[in-house]
Amino acid sequence: MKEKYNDILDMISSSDTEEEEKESKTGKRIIRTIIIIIILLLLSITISLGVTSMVTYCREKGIFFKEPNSMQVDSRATNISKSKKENILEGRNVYFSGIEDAVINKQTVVQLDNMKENEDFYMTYEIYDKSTGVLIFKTDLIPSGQWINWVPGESLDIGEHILDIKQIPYYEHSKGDFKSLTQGCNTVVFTIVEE
Amino acid sequence: MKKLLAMSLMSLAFALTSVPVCAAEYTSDGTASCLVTAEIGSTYSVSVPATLTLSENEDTGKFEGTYRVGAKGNIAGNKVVSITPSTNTMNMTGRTTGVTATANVLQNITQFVLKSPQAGQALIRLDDYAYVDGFVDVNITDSDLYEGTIVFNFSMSDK
Repeated sequence: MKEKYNDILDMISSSDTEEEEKESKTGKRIIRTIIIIIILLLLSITISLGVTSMVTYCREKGIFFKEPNSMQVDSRATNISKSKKENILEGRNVYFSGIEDAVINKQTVVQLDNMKENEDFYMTYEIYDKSTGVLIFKTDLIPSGQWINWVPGESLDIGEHILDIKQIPYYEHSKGDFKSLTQGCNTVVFTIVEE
Repeated sequence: MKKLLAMSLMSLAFALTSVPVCAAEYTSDGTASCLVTAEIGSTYSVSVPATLTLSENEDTGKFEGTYRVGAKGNIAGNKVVSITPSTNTMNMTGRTTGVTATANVLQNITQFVLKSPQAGQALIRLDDYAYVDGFVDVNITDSDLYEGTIVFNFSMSDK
């Protein structure tokens, strides 16, 4: 009986040992697998870092790569020359009034106007005796749409006078800074007679 | 006395209200000119470019530009409006260097007429500007921003 009991105990204990051994082997296998996975992970990270730094180095040095891969269109590029860009008057015209030859008396008034089409351009007049070059009359800045009345008889004697009526337009770039533009010169013959 | 005073006052009123319009003046060859006694204004107008920018012609190496001048107005059939550059050459000066260059100015059509234009003439219109072209070119050797001023002479005369 005892022997049988001992036999059974031996069987149980041996089977326990076998299972324990089995479990132990399985555990060891699992642990081994985890360790291998960790090693592989670490290896791949190391390799990846190494490759990245090598590529960066090669790019900087131009080895294997022609130029850094960061090209884009420069927004400052233009096909308009600098002088044209600065010329805000490009394409604009200046308009001059034309006066005909006339026979006048001492009281006749001549309108020296700045046509309203000139908008923000001012106009000045300088009137010269064409034969002598003497300045007879001049104005300051006349705004567009306005005029100055000039009486030639107050400056000129009786007789025929050939006059150069110079019209000089100005554009005010900034406060008080005036730029002169293309000028006009109207040649006129005034014959001043007695009344 | 009252009659005399009344007549004086009437003469004065007549003198003040009458406005002489035109008194003909005859010259020895029989032509007449009308005396204008009131006010003279404009009978025609001229348009010119405010500024002109020249650009480099890569073929010729010169800096060139085209401009337009125009005229409009109610002119008589025997009249002609002339618009010409004051000179065929224009001095340009470098803003920084002070170097000068001489530009050529060329304008083939310089006159505007009411009808039957000949060579060198264009038709003028009443209400809008009729334009003709002109041309400017200059040789530049020193790099700089060059500036010059064009003066356009204009007048009305008999054909």
